[in-house]
Amino acid sequence: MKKVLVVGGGPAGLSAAEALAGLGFEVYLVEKEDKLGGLPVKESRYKLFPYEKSPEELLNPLAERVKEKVRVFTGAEVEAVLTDRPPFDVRLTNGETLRVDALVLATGVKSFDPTRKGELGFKLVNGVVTNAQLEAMLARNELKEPGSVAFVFCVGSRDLQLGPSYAHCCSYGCAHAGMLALELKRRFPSARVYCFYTDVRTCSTLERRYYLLPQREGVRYVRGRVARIYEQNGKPVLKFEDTLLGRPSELAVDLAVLVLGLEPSEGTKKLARLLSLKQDESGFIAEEREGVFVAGSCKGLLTLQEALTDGKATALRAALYLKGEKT
Amino acid sequence: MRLWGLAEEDRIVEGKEGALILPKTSCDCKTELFDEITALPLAGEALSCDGCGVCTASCPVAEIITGFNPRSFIKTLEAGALDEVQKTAELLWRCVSCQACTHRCPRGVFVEDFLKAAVKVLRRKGLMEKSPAELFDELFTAEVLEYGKVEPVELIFSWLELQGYRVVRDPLLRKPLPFAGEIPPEIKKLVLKPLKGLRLSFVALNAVRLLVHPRSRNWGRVKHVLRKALGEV
Repeated sequence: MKKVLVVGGGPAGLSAAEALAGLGFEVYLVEKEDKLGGLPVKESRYKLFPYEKSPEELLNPLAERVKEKVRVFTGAEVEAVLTDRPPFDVRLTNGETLRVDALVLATGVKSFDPTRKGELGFKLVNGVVTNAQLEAMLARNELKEPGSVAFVFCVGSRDLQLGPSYAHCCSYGCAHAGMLALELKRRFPSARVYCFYTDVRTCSTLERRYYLLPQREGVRYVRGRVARIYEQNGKPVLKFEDTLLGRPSELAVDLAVLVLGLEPSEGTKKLARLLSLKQDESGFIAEEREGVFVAGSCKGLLTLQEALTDGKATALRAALYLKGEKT
Repeated sequence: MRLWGLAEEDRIVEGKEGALILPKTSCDCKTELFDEITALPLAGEALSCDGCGVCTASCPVAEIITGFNPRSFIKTLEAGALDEVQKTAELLWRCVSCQACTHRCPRGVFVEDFLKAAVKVLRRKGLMEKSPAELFDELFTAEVLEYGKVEPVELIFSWLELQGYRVVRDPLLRKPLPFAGEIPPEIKKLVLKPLKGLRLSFVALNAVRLLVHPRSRNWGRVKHVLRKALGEV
């Protein structure tokens, strides 16, 4: 029986592994973390759009199904790929060596490190949090009623100041922040919620639910990128220009939420190097080769919905290849 | 030619021939101006500006001077809205080159370099007057070339003369006489304050120097060296 190794146990990796196992291949799955589920589970996100369910609720059933049919190595990484062409001999960090006929890479992305944008005051100014931190607070019901909240879009994405590899759009932030803003507005109707955007990219059906609806329910969208966040009287103050009015302004809020961008994870960069795959300007894997298939966000940012679909699509491509058909 | 802004031939003008009807589009699209600016070194990065406003929000000058808005300068010049450009042109030279905008721009635009390039081009086209800073610079250079060093009194009074104050010069050496003409009250105060504390004997000894003009050693040789160096350049 042909064997496949799926690298990465996030949404794309899980759905690829499930599909491949369902098609009758012997599947191995390597996951760096101890829990399956990838970025949403690791960062314990509150809700994922467009399902508006918690990552556990969405991904745990899938992970359970995968665990039944697939040999899963958690807490392990790919250490080396010993052969250049299929079949691949892959050595894992837990000492195991596997011989597989195909590799499916689903190594995904990681969140941007906000301490690199010092001017936005993360860890320096009281009341500046990341979106993941806000979600943790919402999930644990710890958030006290805030007078005002500001969402700062595009932190660590679309920002060439960080380097040429940060030109890409994170593709989830606008809709995600729209969902959180709406949630806050519904939970605390008297709170003032602001969103500071350069462009709002809620494509397709997300537009109505995460841009129009928040606006209708009183979330204020301000067009202007936040230049600086500093502390005044123990509160974060945002400095920005309302570009539609052409007026530089300042705003004191109780909570400033940095909506973080995504970048290729360490694992993605490592595997691209190990398999000498071409990477694009942002570091995403830009090519596949014989027996190596790339699924999910490590080839370009996808939403959860897209990642699940892409996992299945990649599994199908791998299956056709393994059955000796041209893809 | 680039296709931002609305080209003159694409504008919609309503009304019958001969009637005074303004075009529906608000700008006098002169994209040549922007092309000329962006052709200068580093200013070309302004083509990737997305108008997020970080430059204006970071700008220390914008905090003090209402209407100083780097984002708006770039965008109005890009659109070629000449009428708008002329409204704000006199503010352009107020940039203090602190580079906060360039340092934060998420699109890697060299905002300060763009502004300086814009000043250069607008000046060349005669759309902008010389800034006080530049006038002072010219005066300063002329002074150095004339005396081989800076003569502070001479410099201050020539500047005052340029500002429209009446300055009295002694007929022989054409040097300004400090207390004969008009001086702005702030400067008068500044000069008189230390004088009040002076002893009479000191004033009596130095009366000539205080009243006529301060002498300094002749730096004529430096003058020649400078002129020679400039000539070689």
